[in-house]
Amino acid sequence: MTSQETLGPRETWATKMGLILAMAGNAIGLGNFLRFPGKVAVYGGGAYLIPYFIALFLLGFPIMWLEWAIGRYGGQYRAHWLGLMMYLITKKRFGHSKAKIIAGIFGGLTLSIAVLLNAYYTNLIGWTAFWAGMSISGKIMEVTSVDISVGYLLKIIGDPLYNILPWAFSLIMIGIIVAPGVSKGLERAAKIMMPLLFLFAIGLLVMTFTWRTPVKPEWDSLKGFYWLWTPRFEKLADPATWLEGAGQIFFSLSLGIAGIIPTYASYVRREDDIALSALTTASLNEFAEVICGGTLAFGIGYAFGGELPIGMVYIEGKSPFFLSMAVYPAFYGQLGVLGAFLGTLWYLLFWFAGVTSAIAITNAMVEWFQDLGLKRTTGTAISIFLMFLFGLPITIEGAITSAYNWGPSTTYLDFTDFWAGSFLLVVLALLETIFAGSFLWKEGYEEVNRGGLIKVPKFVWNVVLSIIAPIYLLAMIVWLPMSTRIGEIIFKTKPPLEWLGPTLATLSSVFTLVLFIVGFIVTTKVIEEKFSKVNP
Amino acid sequence: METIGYYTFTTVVDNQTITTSTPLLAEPGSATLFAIIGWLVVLAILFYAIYKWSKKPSEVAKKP
Repeated sequence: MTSQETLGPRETWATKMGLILAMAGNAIGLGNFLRFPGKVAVYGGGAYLIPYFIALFLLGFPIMWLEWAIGRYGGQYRAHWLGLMMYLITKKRFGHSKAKIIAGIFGGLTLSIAVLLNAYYTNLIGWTAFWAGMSISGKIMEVTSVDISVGYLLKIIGDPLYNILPWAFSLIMIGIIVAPGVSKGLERAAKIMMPLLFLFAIGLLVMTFTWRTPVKPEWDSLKGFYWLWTPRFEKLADPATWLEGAGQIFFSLSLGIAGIIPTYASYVRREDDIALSALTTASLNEFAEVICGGTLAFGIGYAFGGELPIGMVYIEGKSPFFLSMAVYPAFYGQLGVLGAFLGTLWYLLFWFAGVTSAIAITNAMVEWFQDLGLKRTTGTAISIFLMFLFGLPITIEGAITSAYNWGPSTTYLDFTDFWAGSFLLVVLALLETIFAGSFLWKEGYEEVNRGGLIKVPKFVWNVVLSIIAPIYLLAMIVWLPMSTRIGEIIFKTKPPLEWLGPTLATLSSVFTLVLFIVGFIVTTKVIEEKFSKVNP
Repeated sequence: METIGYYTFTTVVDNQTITTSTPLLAEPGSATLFAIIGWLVVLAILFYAIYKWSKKPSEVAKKP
């Protein structure tokens, strides 16, 4: 196969709408509705929007465009995962041997990120499935105090039955969606789940501004909204605010996550627009994040729980995810049937948001297995099994530590979240901006604008993407280990199991390394067998 | 700034129970202003994208 004999993508999206909804579903996740309001609360309220929007324009849009360009470029040569795409992009400049090594590094990173991130992320999706099930069945009405709902959360973490059942259900659903392929599986699911997700979010949004005092007259949802958005300008002097603003944009848009954007973009035909499609998916993500996420968590939180949710996040440092899983169920439980209805909307919203992101990562893994000669259904089954296998330490750790008054602990989950779910993503994106930026991939600018319904400005490509973004990413790489309390994560387990935390952190690191090596070897092998003769 | 409430929580340090009450402050005017700015930026990008698609209706509907 040469440049004159391109095969085109293995599969294509059936409609533009399907592509955009699937891409938006990939980006919109738990982070929009829970992580974002948590960051606004801690890093300056309304003032946080300044570093946030600066990062959106300097980091978010440019890297989004880059990943779409990498993906569509690779797709024409039937390269559907990042390692192969980067081989094709770097081959012209570096030659076969060096490009193969570069591709191997990308392949190793994508495999380790995809498997480990999805392993714990699907476990978290299981937590939302548990509360969605409790709401749908009406059992949430028995959760009438925060103590009871915290008790359930401890069971979800510490009791294998409570942990595995909703997790396995979510994994099976993900498999059912991914196995049929791009247009029949991913696209069809996105067309159903994304409108429902926005419907639920907008319904809750309207409720926040209209039914403001459902519990007590003084617990007005607008007070929670006002508190969150009150600007605290002194926070702008803290470098952490600027890096956390960039970090939120990065994670929220799913940049650098195992090459899932490039994989989805690889199903776009060469002559079709990507510049406007990328902008549209990013804007849908921002709508879910700033407008919905910025209103719901603390608006609804204050209406149902008064000062408690704000205090737990702002003063005690708890995450909004913890609030949603451990505190809010009691709020809904106290409202009887109405609470069960609201809980259903709330937790299905999160479940949909989580699943649409997880299927994108799973799909990238399935593409791997297809290039190894496996059928799509077999590749999906193996991917699901791998997620379960590498996520199992979460269940085991919970079960072992649940008997202690400091347990159940989540060291494996938290450490993997830092390592594979945060740090490595930034490393991957940095490498993308270097190897596919304007200095080393000069054709990239032409590629992103090919068939475009809008034109990406040259300045954005040559300066913002290729110079400013790598500097931003480097700062984040330095900042992430400094800002994360790694010691607290690793040494969370107490006597007599003080050895367990460091052991699990080591296990997570070993898994990352092993998957990286496997990814590296497999990538170079597939390149030798299928792509070495391709001359882009 | 107005106080919307107090958050009271208890910690145990060296077997001593310490209760702290922190006021939660909000300024409705500036909060609304910043929220509106945030909403407007997001909606401007979203409507720009929708406007650009509307210029090419056949592109949206057609199968790639």
